[in-house]
Amino acid sequence: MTAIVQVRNLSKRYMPENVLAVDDVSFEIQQGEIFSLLGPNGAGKTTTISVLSCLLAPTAGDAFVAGHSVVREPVGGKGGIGGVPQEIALYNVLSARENLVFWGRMYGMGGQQLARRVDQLLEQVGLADRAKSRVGTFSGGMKRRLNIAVGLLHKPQIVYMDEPTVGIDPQSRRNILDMVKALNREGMTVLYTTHYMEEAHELSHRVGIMDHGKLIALGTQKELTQQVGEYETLRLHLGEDQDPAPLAEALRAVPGIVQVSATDHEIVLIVPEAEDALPPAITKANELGVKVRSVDIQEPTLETVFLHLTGRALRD
Amino acid sequence: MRKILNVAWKDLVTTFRDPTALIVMLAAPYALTLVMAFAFGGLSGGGGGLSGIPVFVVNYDKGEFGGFLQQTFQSPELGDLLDVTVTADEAAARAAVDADKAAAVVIIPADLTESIVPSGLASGDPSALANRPQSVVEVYSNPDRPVSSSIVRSIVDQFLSRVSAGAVGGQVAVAQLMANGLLTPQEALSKGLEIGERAARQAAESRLIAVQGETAEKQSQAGFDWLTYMAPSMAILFLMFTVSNGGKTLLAERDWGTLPRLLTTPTTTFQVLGGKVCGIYLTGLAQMGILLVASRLMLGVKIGPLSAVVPVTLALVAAATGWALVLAAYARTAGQANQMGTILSLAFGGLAGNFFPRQALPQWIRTVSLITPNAWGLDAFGKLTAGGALGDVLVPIAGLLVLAVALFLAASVLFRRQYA
Repeated sequence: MTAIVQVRNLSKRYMPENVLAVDDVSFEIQQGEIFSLLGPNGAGKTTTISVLSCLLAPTAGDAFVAGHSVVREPVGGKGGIGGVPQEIALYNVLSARENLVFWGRMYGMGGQQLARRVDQLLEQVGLADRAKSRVGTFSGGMKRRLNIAVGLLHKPQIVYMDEPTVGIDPQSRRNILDMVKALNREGMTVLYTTHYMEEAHELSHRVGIMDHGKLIALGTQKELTQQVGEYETLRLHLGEDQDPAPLAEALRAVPGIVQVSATDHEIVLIVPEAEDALPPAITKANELGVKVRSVDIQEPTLETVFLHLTGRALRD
Repeated sequence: MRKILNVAWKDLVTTFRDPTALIVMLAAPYALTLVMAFAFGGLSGGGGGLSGIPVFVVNYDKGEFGGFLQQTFQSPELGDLLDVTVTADEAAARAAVDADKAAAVVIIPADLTESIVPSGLASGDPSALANRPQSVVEVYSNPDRPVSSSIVRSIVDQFLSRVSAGAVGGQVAVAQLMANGLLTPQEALSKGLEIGERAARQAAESRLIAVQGETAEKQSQAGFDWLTYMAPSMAILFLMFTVSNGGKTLLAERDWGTLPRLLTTPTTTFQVLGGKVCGIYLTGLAQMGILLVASRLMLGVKIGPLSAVVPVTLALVAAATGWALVLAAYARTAGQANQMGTILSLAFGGLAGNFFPRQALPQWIRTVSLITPNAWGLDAFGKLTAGGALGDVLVPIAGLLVLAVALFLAASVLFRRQYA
């Protein structure tokens, strides 16, 4: 396989705030794969994508997109990139077709080639019957689909999708995930950022997990879950009036429990054997008078990996 | 260059699709021109505003009063204001109004003279006065030319009111003569007819003098044509609002996410900014063009020769665009740019004399105001509306171009800080 994106010791520090948003990150994206950057909000995913889109200059390091350095030849590399920003970036007073034609021209397209491509994409994203409607009249899901279509206009070598499912309904989300998979089947390389573990799990050939600007894990899903060995995830769902903090503190002292994380009404344990850890956990809960409403046992997931590596759940 | 024009065209289209922007760009300056010209100058102060109003006169009256009214419309004093065609074909005249080829048709009825001086009185029939016909002079108006047709109506109204006053004056004179014993009731009828007819005739004939007197009076009071001044003045004032709004969109595009997206395409920052600048310039140019043409066609304002108006407008919009860019480069948010744009536009309007004659401002304000495109533009259009040609406006054009270059340089320094 050929690496279409090569990121080398990339760092980005925002000034004057002096915030290190991306800290010495290195990875490669192979042609034809879906590569996901997974991490909580503020992990540095969008900054990384902005540098790879030549929107931000890195503070240190470099990245190469289709062989073009984002530092030395930013405009040269842009032609191979299709960007789908997190926020919908369209003109509301223009129609769907006018938006696509405008953006197509900005990618250097024109004439019959552009007209055909616009028709094709309108069909592909299911907006052919609304081609002449102003985008301002569209629903959030329709705007999201058109937002993606703009990034695909010039048939880029790689498309960057920055959290494209944020704030939309489940049906539109499903459509977008299916669209990403379909694009990849046609040979499109995709860089996908998300903080939804389920999306990364469903889509990705390989995943890079980011936290606090660092790339803390990288590999296929199998490789990543192997990092946490044969550990399982044990979830204790507490009553709504229960405070999980004292129980979480007590469970950290229980032998055999590798990791403890508490959210609002839930305690997540990483354990070698859930069946062995469950009795002492329930005993501790009873001792502290904490009511456990239900229990889940899960095989290792990307979230388990994140929890294992950071000590926090993805949603924290 | 294609990408620059693509961005510029997109900005032009999006602006002209915004109903609020259209009101500010086109409707507001036009309405304000009318309001201010009407408030201060009665629409036409010196004959330089409305002119050549096409009017048809159909005179069915064979008597002398129909002739007086017709002569009023054909008087030399109204020659510049009205373009009168006397015709016997009423249907054709009405059709001309329907086709917007005339502002109004004045239809003088056959019994106009009879209604003022009944013929029966001359033969000693006292009942003729009571039985005289109620005559109606009809003004068939063009609703698309409300100002012009109202002027025609007011001329007719004034003529008729003076004639009526003359006739009433005759009756009063007869009554006073009888009361003083200078006239017997037997003589009253014939003398009354004679006095009333003379008074009405003098009133009708004096119509010409009255028109002349009013026109002369207004000129001496103001010596200034508000409509001719206000039409380009309001266009310039609202040009500043339009270009400020254009500058604001540069920041707004950052908020909408479209500016970063533009920069992810294989397009340089220079091309994106160049496109935005061209968009602001083209929008301003379109606005000025529409407003000046509308002033000429709908208000009859003579702006000046095209060979001079075009270069003045091109330079004026360039300088205004320069200010918009400085604003966009200096402001940090679209909201801030919006507020600053409004303040700047109004301040420039006040400083340069967009709301009142620039000549009335103190010299030091007129000097300071040369930092505004408004001042140079008003100077240039002032000269052109007074009959000047290209040679007379070379200094304002040069001033505008120097201002434009200085502002573009300042903006580029500020932009470099923001987008480097």
